[in-house]
Amino acid sequence: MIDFFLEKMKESPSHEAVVSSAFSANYGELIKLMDNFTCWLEEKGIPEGAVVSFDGDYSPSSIALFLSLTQNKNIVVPLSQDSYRHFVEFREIASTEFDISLLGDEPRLIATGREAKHDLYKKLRETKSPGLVLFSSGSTGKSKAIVQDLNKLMGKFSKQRKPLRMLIFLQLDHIGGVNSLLYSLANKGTVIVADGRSPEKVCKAIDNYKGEVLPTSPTFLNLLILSKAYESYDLTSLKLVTYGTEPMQESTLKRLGTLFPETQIQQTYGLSEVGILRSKSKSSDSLWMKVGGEEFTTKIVNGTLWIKSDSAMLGYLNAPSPFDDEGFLDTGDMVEQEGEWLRILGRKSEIINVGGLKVFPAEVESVLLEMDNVEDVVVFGEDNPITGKMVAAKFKLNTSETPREIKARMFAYCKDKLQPYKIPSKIILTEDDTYNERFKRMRRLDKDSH
Amino acid sequence: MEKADIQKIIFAAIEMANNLREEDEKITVSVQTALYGQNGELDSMGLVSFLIDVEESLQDSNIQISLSDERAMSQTKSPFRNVQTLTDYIDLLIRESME
Repeated sequence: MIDFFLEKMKESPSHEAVVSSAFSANYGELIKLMDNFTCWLEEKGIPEGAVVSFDGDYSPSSIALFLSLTQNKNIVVPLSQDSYRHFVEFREIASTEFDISLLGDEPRLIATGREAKHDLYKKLRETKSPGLVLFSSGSTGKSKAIVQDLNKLMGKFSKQRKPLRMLIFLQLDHIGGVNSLLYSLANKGTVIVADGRSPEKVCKAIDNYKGEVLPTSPTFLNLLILSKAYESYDLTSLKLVTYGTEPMQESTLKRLGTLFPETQIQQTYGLSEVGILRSKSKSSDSLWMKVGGEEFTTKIVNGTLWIKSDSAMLGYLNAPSPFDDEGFLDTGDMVEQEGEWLRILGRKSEIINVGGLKVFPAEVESVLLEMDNVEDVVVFGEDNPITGKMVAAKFKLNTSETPREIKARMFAYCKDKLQPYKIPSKIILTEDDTYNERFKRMRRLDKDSH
Repeated sequence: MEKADIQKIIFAAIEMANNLREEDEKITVSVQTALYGQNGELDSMGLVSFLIDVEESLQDSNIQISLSDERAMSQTKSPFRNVQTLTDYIDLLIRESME
C-alpha cells in the first residue's frame, strides 16, 4: 500500500506537502527526506518486522520517518509530546526493539535488546504487513495498546478524494492524526501545523496558510468561541470543521453555526480500534448523523453502538479481544436511533445513575456552558447514600466567583432547562484545565483529583 | 457552633434551593418549615442537593460532618423532617465529633 502513496506523492513534487511557521516541505523534499531515512535504517540494520518507536511531533522529518518505517514493513509506535510522561511505559507495553528520537538535530537510535514476540506481531510479520501501535487514552486506568495492520488502514485511501489544506490537530500517536496525514498524502493535500493548540495559534495558522479543514474536538471549539480568537484573523478559507472524540454540546454547535455561517460543520465518528468512519451530519447544526461507509457495518445492542470493520485493529497487546463472535466491537457509546440517523449520547461508562434515572454528562454540560462567565465545565457522578449517585460539576470560570454565587446562578439558570435530577448538587471550582492534551474533557480523572 | 448559627446555615440552604423554584413555589424560611417526609417541601433529589449545601457551609466553618449517610437514613424518626429537627441533629453530630 505504501507504494500507492509514494506514486501519488511523486506525481506532484513541487506541491506543498507540509507547512508551519518553523518548516515547510513539498512532496519532492518529503520523498528525499524519506530516502535519507531509508538509507539510515538500512545502515543501522533495522530489520523488516522490527517494532520501532519514534518520538517527535508533526514535522517533515517525523512524516518521512513514519513513511520509511512503513516501507521497511516495521511495526511503528509513534509517540508524541502529548504523552511524554508515558514514553517509558508505552515502549515497554509495545515491547519496542528500537527507539528513535527526533528531538535533536540528528536522529538518535537506541537498540533496546528486547525481543517483540507478541502473537499479533507474528501475524503482521507473516503477512509482511507494516503495523501501527496506538494507545487508548486510558480513561479507565491503564492505556490499552492497539495493534493495526497499516496496509489495511492505508487501503481506505485508495479512492481519490478532494485535495484539501488541512490543519493537523492530533498527532501521529492518535488515529485522528494518522487518518488526517494519510488522507492528505493520498490526495495531494497540504498539512498545516499550528505552533500550538490554543485557539489563537490555530486561528493564526488557518489565516497564514489558508487552511480549509479543521478536524478538532467539541472542547476546542468551545474554547475557540470563548476566546474570540476568530475575530482577529481571517478564517474565510475555512470550508469544513469536523469534530469527533466526544459528544458535542448543542449550545456550542448552535453558536458555531452563527459565527461561521459559510463553513460546513460535520461530526466524525472514530475509534482507535476500528478507524474513522465516514460520516454525514444531517445538517451543520444537527447532532444527528449517519455513519458507515463501504467497509463498516453497525448494529445497536441495548442502546450501545457496535461496529464491524475491515480495517479494524488486529487486537490489543495488553487486553483481551473485545470482538464478539461475528467480529463486532462494542464501542461503549450509547446512541439514540431514528431511522438511519444516529445521535451519540455519551459513554456508557460515564452515565450517571441518579436514583435509577440516567444522566448523560454532555447534556448537562451543554446547558451549563451557556451560562455567563463559564470557560469550561465537566460533569460527572459522585457517590451519594440517598440516590446512589449524584451529579457534580467542576467549573472553570473566567472571572472569580464564590462557589455559592455560581451555584445560586446555576440553579436559577437550569430550573426551566433541565429536569431536577440532572441539575448538579455539588459544585467544584478549578483553575486547572478541564481537558487533556487532545482537548478532550476529563471526566473520570476528576473524581480522583479532589 | 451555636444552634442559632446552624439555623442560619439551614436557612441559607433553603434560600439556595429556592433558586430552583418559581415565585409561587418558594419554600418558607422558618423554623417550622417541613423539609422532607410528611408535608415536606423537598423530594429525594432536592434533599440530596439541600444536604450537600448544608455540609458545604459547615465545611466553610471547618466542621466536617456527613448528613446524608446510613445513620441519618436509619433513624426511626428522620432528622430531616423540619428545620428544628435538622438543627438538633447537626448540633448532636458536632458535639459528638468534638468528644
